Amino acid sequence: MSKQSSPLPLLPGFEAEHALFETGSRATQQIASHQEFISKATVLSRALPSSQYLINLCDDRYWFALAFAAGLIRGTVSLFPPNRLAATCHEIARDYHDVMCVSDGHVDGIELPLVQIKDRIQIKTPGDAANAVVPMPLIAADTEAFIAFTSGSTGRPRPHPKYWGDLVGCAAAAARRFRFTADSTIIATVPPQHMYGLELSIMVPLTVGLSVTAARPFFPADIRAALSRAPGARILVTTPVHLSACVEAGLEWPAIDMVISATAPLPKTLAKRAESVLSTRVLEIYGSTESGSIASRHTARETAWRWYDTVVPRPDGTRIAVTADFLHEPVPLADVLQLEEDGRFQLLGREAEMIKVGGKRASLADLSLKLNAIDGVRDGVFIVPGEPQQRVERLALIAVAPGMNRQAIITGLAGQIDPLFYPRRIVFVDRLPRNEAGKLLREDLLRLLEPAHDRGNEDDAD
Amino acid sequence: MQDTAAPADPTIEQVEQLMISALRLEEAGITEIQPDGALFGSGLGLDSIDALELALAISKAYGVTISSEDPNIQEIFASLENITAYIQSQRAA
Repeated sequence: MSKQSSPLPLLPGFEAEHALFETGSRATQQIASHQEFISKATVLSRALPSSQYLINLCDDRYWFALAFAAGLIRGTVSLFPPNRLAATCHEIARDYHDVMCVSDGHVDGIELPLVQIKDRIQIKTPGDAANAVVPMPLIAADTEAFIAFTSGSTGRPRPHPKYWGDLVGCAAAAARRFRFTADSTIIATVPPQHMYGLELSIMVPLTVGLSVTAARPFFPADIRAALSRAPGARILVTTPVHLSACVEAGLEWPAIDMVISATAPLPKTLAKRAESVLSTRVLEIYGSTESGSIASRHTARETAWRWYDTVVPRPDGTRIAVTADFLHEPVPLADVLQLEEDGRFQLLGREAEMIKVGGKRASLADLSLKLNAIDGVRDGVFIVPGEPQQRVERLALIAVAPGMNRQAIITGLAGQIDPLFYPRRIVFVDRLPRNEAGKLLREDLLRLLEPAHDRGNEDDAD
Repeated sequence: MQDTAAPADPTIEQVEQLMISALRLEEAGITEIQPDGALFGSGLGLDSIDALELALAISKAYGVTISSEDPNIQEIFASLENITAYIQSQRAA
């Protein structure tokens, strides 16, 4: 552990007049410079009511970053809920009593103190009082900057505290890996409250000093417009879901320096297609909310992952923990990795997805990959029916495979997997219930196994 | 929102069919869509990935590009009749 305790600047990549945020829209394009950002953050830090915690619900990255920075300056710990639902905020507030919400827009049904950030700090033209030159705020490296929440297995949000020095260190490691420079602009389709979005669209800009588009483009046309407006080398930070939509959209694309994808596995075929359609490189990040981003690969060309340069894997029983200069303590990984002699690793599957049938072990992720490799299967997943603690009898399978029947699926799996893992039950659906980040939640999958979802499309068992 | 002056292209029935086939709603037992019923959230229950797929289908079928930069984007996507009117207005423009 080589944790720093010295103060670090709020904006380590500071260069006063350099753009940090590209705000506004096509008609009213504006730029917030580094100097303007630290001035506004300082003003806001004094304007906010006092509280111990701050739930940051801002959608726009500029407002989000101002509220986050203001919290850092005044010692208010930010809380990033996994979604913008009032119910989630209320649940978090049960454990964090002295809390206020900060938002840049209406929030339905919120029953906590709510500060509308735009009422506290007006957008002012350069030279205004709010943009007066203020000294660079210094933040102690061991400051608890924010707490990320993930949906825990118990259904209650699980907290993950993050420290300022570690966040800067992780962003610096990502910058070395991807060779980010200050003349690039990041365009991100992911929310800043998500760990991946926070690192790539907030911490990397602050640490490297490069600029980022404040808006979160959604439709392919939005993404293209945001890219076209962005100055410098363009970096698109996105997910497999958005990348797939862009590839299918039939649009002409501006030059893109690189695409970075995370949150869900990126199929190699999609990576290749995206590289061809967007004329760019598509790089994939591996990480977790607990560890932050820690490895990457060039998915179209390689299957093995490379650790960030300061990350060291430490085999720990059957699992692997990682240490790094940006991690407070060793972080055990939930995934099953196979370390290779050249220092790279293969991702075999999630520990939670390792299953045993008739004494044989397999990873659900790996089985699902085999399923998706079958010609005619558009999307599909293996699932363990019933409670995960109970002994696995046989697996179930949910697939999007128009025109295919049970026999066709089994024929496709034959030779690819041990017959012990053949699905006992197959449910055909029109779409897997992927959430906004492209992830599949077990509870949603289990719902599809309920009898009401049977389509009479060959899903009988015996 | 609906233009009633002359038979415009496409008709609301054509857009309805496009939605049903693009989002594969028939397989979910949905064979018709209320012209003024809510599509997202509590209405028909479409999600953000449906919005992406629908925008893609509309651009392929009618050459109309959907973008959030249109200030009325929420309203356009609110119902089948609004979407139809928007496609018609874009094609007439």
